Amino acid sequence: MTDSLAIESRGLTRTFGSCTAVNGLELRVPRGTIYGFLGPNGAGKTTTIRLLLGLLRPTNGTILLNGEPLTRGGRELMRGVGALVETPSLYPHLTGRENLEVTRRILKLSKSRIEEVLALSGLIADANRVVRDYSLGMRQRLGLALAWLGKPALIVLDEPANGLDPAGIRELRANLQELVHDHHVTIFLSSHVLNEVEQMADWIGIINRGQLLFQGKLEELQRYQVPLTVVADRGFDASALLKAKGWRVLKDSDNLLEVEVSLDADIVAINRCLLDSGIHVYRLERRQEALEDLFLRMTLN
Amino acid sequence: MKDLYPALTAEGLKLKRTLALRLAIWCPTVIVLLVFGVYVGRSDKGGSPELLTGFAQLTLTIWTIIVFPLFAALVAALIAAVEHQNDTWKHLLALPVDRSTIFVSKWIAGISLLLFSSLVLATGVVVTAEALRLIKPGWGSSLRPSAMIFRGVFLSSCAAWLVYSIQMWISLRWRSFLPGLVVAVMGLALMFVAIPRGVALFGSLFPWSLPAMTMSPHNPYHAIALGLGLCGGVLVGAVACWHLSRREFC
Repeated sequence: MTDSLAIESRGLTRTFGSCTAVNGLELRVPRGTIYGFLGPNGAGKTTTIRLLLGLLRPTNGTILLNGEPLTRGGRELMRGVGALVETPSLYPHLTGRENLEVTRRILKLSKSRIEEVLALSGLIADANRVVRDYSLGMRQRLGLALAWLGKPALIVLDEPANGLDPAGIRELRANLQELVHDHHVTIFLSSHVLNEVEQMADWIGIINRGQLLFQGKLEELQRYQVPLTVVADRGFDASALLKAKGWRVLKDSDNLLEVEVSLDADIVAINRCLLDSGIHVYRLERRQEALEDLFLRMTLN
Repeated sequence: MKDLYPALTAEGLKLKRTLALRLAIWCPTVIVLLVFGVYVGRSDKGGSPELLTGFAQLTLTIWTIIVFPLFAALVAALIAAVEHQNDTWKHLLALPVDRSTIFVSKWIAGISLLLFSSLVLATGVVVTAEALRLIKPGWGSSLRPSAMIFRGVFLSSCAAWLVYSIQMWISLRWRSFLPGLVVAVMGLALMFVAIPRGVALFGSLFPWSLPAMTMSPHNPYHAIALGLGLCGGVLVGAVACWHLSRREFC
């Protein structure tokens, strides 16, 4: 399992005095995916990211990045990790190209890498302007270029869409999807822009008060406790039948039922069961709950 | 430490267009020009063979006693501010480089600026002394040889390593300018109290007075001051790098 994971944490805990910012986190981030790490403000997202990058030391627990344990001395492991934490870490008195050059020198990369990442971020025309003259969107793109400079297998992004306009967000999304599809990079991104995560991520983790509330594929989350609505001609008979077959009927009234299901196969089975019993099914509907509603329901609970 | 050279070249690039680099040129230049202006304005008709020596001594004294300790504090604060101001620590310390390498490279970058500013000062003194000789031919040619000036300035900048290391540690540890500024001002104030009170050994070996103590080869504590400045600077720098590399930056 560990080999197929870009990030794995075991019992990851971090306390600040009496405050537990991250509590027993068991992250499992599969390689080659975009993992959206969601949580309200103060949930422990940034602390988790700082722990993953070795900027903070865990009080308890371990972190494995690309299958290797993260230790204080083992900095070489970070060669496979690029990061953009909150605001991009840029030197405003240097040009965009010089900002990349600083990291290129430290990572001992070839000079051609700078042109490659500038092209990816669409900053070639502005590469020789000092960063203090850049717009927020340009800084964000340069920050992403900086994270991608060392060709890491894993990129960790903390609120990358912060301050971007809709066009910038769309561009960011395209860039991230290009990195995943063309370069097989794993992206771990924290965000509170739920709509964005819904459009980008294929895996989701939801954190609140330092604890992971959910972790899994986006579809699993969207299915999370969303009942199946069944409209049939003999509602009470249908309800009794489904209960007898072991399904949990949450609501039954006249010809409308709500049945708890987890897989698409359950819907097919329910339909067949009702039809076989001579009950006419007019409608089978599984409402797609917006991620935002789900998120709020989970975190408020 | 195998990554020290790349980290050093990166530090060098970061200094581009910074106030620290501009000050390394302007601070010694302004001191030299100020003293030059004072000497050009003097009306010593008969001339004195000691005047050119006096010009060099006054410049070097102002530099080593007053300006250099403050300049060292300023350089340390400005180098640290490059990272503090934009919170670039979170990027820098997440790179696959040993943290101590990053702090050692910052320490060396500051030392290089101190040496560079000393070089500017010594060059300035020699050049302006030549200009004075042309303007005031009666002042003779009794100026100490250029090599002596370069040597004195170089040794005093080496003796400043201890002060610089203390200031660098403080500047990297705290984001605010204030702790570094308070220590620099207190250090200078104590130096002005300690030296004239005549507690010779203490006054001579007080970190802020070490650059001045090494200027004159006739000072009885010259060698001790130089050794303390250099070795103390390296030792405090090493402890600071060790401490900072173990700290969490968040």
